[in-house]
Amino acid sequence: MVQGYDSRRARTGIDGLTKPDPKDHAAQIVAWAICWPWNVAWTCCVYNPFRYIGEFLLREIQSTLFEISNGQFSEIERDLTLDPSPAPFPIRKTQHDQLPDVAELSQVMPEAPPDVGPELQKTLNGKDSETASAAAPSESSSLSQPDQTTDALPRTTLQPGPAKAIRPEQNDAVTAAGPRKLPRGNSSGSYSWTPPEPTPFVAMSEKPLRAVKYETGAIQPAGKAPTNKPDKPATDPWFEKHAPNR
Amino acid sequence: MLSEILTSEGFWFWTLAIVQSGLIIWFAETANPVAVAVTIGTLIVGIAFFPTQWEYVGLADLHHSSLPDWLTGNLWPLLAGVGCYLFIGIAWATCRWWLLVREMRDKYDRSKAEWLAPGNLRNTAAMLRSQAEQCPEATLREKYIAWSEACRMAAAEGGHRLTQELKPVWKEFVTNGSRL
Repeated sequence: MVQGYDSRRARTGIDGLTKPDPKDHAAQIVAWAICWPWNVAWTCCVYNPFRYIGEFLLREIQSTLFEISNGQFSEIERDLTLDPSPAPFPIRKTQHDQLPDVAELSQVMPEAPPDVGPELQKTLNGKDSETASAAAPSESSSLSQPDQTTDALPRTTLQPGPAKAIRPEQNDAVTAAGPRKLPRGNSSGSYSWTPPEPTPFVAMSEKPLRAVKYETGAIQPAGKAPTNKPDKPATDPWFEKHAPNR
Repeated sequence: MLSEILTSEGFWFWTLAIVQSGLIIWFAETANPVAVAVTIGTLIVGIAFFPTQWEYVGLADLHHSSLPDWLTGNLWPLLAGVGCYLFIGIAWATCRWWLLVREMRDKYDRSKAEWLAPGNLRNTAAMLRSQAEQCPEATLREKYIAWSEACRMAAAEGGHRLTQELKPVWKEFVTNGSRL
């Protein structure tokens, strides 16, 4: 029996373990090939190769069957496996994020062109809402009724403007201003948002996760549905007794 | 009775066959292909001295013709037989090589499993700690202490897993064995 290690150095059984090289054992292999009938008999009697052959065949069959089932169920498992680290919010840049801020617009275009819609012109020029409303009384009065408290603030209600509110060259001027670099804390919420710290995923078991779909479409079960009913009726005698001075 | 056995041609024939087979197996195990080939040749030639046993080995036609005539008459079957014999021999040698490598791997896996047992890891950690205390060289002492800590931590975690920290210790054990 050829040993794959230097038996002269062997102290632990695997001492001096080296990868067997067929070139180093050519004589042994030739001897096996020449006297194979005797070697088959001797090997079967002494080394019991059927154990290795049986284990090898069993493992190959098992791996083949697993590959078949994995190949057929890979897409199903992908559908039913929940993402262990859900994507933080917001992850997709919406079209709203691409729009320039009002302050930036006022820097690029200090004076709004005359053909800009009344709402945008009012916002850019910082004029009073009443002035803007006077410029276009029919549009603003028909859609919104500003009260006393909101008159001093720039109006943010959605107003339909003219079809050609901003000309293409004005858009080019905004684009030519370069990328927006807004300081933190002085911008909208979408810029001051920082992604949360990722939490490591700890598998609870070796079994694949089961996907549970709730009616709400969320991975968490929905709580008690909110109702418009008050918690306690006004005429509840227990409530009247325990909270008389409410 | 004994004299009849000793004078019978069949007894000596089978004795020769068994002894020659033993020699062939021995030479094959000791990786001596020349001795194997010579032994097989002598076994074939030795059959010629036992004409009464030719029928048992499929050579009954030799009784009716000379050896050259028999060889020329059965040339192609002989060549085909030799070719099949060598072909099967090569296939068997490949299987035998696979068995050899497989056995070596099994031995390695068994040794690895024994070494990664928690008890053995604790013993190894203690041995490394004592070696570190006796080692005068600072770098070697630090290495032994780190290895000892790795073995202790692996044993505390249940063992049976070759971690990255244990790999240098295991490699040292495989390379140098008891001299670790």
